Amino acid sequence: MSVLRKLSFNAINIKAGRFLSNKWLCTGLTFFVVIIMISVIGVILFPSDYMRIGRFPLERPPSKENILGTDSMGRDVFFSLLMATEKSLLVGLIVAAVGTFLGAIIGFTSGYIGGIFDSITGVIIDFFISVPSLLFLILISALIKVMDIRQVALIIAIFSWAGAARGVRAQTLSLKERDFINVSKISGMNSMEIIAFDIMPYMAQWLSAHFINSFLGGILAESGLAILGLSAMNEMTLGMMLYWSITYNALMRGLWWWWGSIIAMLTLVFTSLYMMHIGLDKAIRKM
Amino acid sequence: MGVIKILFKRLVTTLFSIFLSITIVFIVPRLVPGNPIETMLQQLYVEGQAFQLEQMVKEYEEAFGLRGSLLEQYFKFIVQTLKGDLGFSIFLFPTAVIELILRYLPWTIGLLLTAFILSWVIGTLIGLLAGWRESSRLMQITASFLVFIRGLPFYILALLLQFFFAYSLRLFPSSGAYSVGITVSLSLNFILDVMKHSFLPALCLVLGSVTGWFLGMRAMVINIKNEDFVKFAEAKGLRRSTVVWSYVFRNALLPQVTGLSLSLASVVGGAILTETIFAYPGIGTLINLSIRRLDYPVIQGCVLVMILSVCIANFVMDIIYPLLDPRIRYGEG
Amino acid sequence: MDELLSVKSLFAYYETPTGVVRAVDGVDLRVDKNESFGICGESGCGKSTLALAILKLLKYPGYIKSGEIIFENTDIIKLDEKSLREIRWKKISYIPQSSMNALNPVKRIFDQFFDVIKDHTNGSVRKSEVKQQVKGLLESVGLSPEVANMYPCELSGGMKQRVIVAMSIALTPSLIIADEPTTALDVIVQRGIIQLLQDIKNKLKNSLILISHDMAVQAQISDKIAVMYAGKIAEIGKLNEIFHRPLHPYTRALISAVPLIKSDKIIRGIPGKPPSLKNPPSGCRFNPRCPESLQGKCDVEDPPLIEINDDRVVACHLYV
Repeated sequence: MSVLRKLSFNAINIKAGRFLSNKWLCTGLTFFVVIIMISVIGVILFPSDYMRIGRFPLERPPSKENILGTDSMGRDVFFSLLMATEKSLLVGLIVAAVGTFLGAIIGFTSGYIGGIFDSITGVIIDFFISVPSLLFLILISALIKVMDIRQVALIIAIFSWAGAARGVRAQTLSLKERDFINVSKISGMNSMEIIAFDIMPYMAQWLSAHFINSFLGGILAESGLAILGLSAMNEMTLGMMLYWSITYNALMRGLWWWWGSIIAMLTLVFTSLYMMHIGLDKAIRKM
Repeated sequence: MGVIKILFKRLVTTLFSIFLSITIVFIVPRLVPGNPIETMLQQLYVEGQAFQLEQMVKEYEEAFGLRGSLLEQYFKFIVQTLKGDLGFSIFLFPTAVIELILRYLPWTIGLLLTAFILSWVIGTLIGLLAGWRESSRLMQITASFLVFIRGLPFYILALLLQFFFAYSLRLFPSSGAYSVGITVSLSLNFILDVMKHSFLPALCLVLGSVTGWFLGMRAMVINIKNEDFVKFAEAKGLRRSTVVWSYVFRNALLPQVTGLSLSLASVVGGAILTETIFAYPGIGTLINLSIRRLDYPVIQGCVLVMILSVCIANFVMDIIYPLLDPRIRYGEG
Repeated sequence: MDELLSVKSLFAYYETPTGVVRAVDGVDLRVDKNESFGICGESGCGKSTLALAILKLLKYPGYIKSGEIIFENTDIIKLDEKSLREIRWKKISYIPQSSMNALNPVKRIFDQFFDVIKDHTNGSVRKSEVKQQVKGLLESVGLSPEVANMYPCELSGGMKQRVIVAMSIALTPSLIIADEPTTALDVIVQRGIIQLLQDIKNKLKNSLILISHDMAVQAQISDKIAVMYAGKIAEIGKLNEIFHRPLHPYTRALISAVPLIKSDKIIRGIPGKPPSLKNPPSGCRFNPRCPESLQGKCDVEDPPLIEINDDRVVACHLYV
């Protein structure tokens, strides 16, 4: 098992060395971790009935009792925000995990099998990348009324595998081109070692960058659906909060504490994710 | 000739995309057990807006052509779609879906086309400037700042713009395409009114996309500036304008054109949400309305039309690229 | 005066994060009219930097620290962009080291010729007027006139090289600088290019600075040769002198490394590595590898450039 030992050493060396010097990655990650911690802690600490409709007087600006005020349905905005952030992050996680995993498998299989199967899969992958997936999502969500946010996430994941598939497929195909079985024989490394040292580090980094991207895309898609009223209506995500604030015309009616805090939180989430993505991207370039 | 081969390949891919799109749209309502019309009407029934469900189902089935086996339905669907017959609206029966769409589509196309082209042109030109003069500290800071903004979705921009310009400063209207009560004509008055209403949605889409083009072009120009043929061009004593436009710009342009196809997908998605927020009477608003009215055939029709438009637009953009890059036409060396 | 170009005490450096690279560290040379002047030396000795410096083409992080480059009674270094453009190509042209990428990939060959001609003509030029000229230029380098309508990606390496040579004579310059024009080409094509440069020189009576580490190539075409080592001139002399009576120990080593078909000569390489241009050795740059190094002198003092006669200089303590 020397390969595995060498691999873990390598990975740790690569990560530790570059990690700390990567400004984008670090700042983004810091913000992101802060967000996660706040939302999780908040959810645990606060009593859950703060989200009950009518619990508080409607549309009150920030006060001692409600740090961020209340919305048009009498819910505490601050607590709603924490819950919603947690749910949105969950969606992002499911979409990223399922999408990247699925995509990697499809991409690898297609590249491995090759031939006509691969050509057709290639066209299908390009199709899903170049078509606005929001439209398909609208179509599906409009008809299939989903109640659980996890189901929404899965539906979104169905349309997010294409990116990972394309990358993995390209890598698999070039692997085949390189005739690396022969290379391994000539260079004295066995195929496992070549995969572990040459390909895995690059792929791992690329997949991480893509994972972050999918995470971002998942939250984006869910919030987009929510604004149109197509997400799980019973659950509270950041997108759903936006939906309610738009429905009650919060912006034009000056309920700035409500829609403003949602926007701020969304901006924070997206920006931190994007910064992490850029950080990983830069790290890949340097490889 | 290389060009014909490329054209043919692109055509085949586009046709495949079109058929795949139609197939997916065909399958979705049939994923739910039962007849698609039943499903659609089921929603209305549950909401208490439909009576005598079975009678309605029969009549609608007739009108929506759901007789026959699945395969028969499929082919009928393809033919109908390509002919432009997208069925009837449930809520506004007997209005044809295509009729509704044609009422709303021009607004979307106008908005999208303007915003898309404008952001591409502005982003590319300013990117050229920034890339050429890369050493400016200001440019570097601006670029970093813009990268921040790039991660934000269109709807956040839309809401912020609505807040600042429509609510706080009251410079622009917050919704609609033209003022209530104004006569629709080609008069200057009307055109100005339309432009005032379109300004914020267009600005939102432009701001959201321009960063991407700017950053891409700037990076490309910085790269190309150091290429051998640019240095050689300078050694030849060519005028600065020749070097910048004929040598640097022409080459940096290529990836910008490639990026058009990818960008279109996200802009279309963003446009739909932006229209919703600004209540701009385009396809986005039609979709939003239809969702609330549970008018599924209209939703389906809109999605189909938009996706097919994107496929065709991609085809057009894919043809342009080989025209610009001889290496694709003749194959490398 | 037969003098065309005179380089005096030229220093050209590169700024890097780890220090300053002294690529050209005090170079003096003189090129006469209608003369083939060869510059040779190992890779990384500063030859290309010298060529770029003469045309004032050094870009950040490279820069000219000090010195004079006198061409037709003007110091090129002191010229502004506009005047430089007048000289570039019209008076001095340049055949770069990697011709593979020197052509604009998205423009036809004819258009690239047209660019050069148009930008150096005051007033307007029409494409039809230039067509004949381009045809003639292509034919003079042995290319069919149809090449004019092609794109660079349709041409082979040798063809691209010829196109560049044709471009370099388009404005009949008085000096052509060719930087390793034969590297990356096979021997047969190499011969063709050398012959071409020779023919051009005979016809246009221009001067040629030929930069090449290949002594065999230098032997075919150069009238005078300058040997560079670690950013400095080691020796300059007529072709015969350099080959048959090399003075500088480095030159001697170089000459003895050139294989001869007819003899059983033992080929010796030069032991050691080329010195770092960031931290050059003290005293004479060559002294760590020099078989005739004088302890106490060569490792301490930088040898001056000694003029033996009008065409012969050497920088070595052995000849003081």
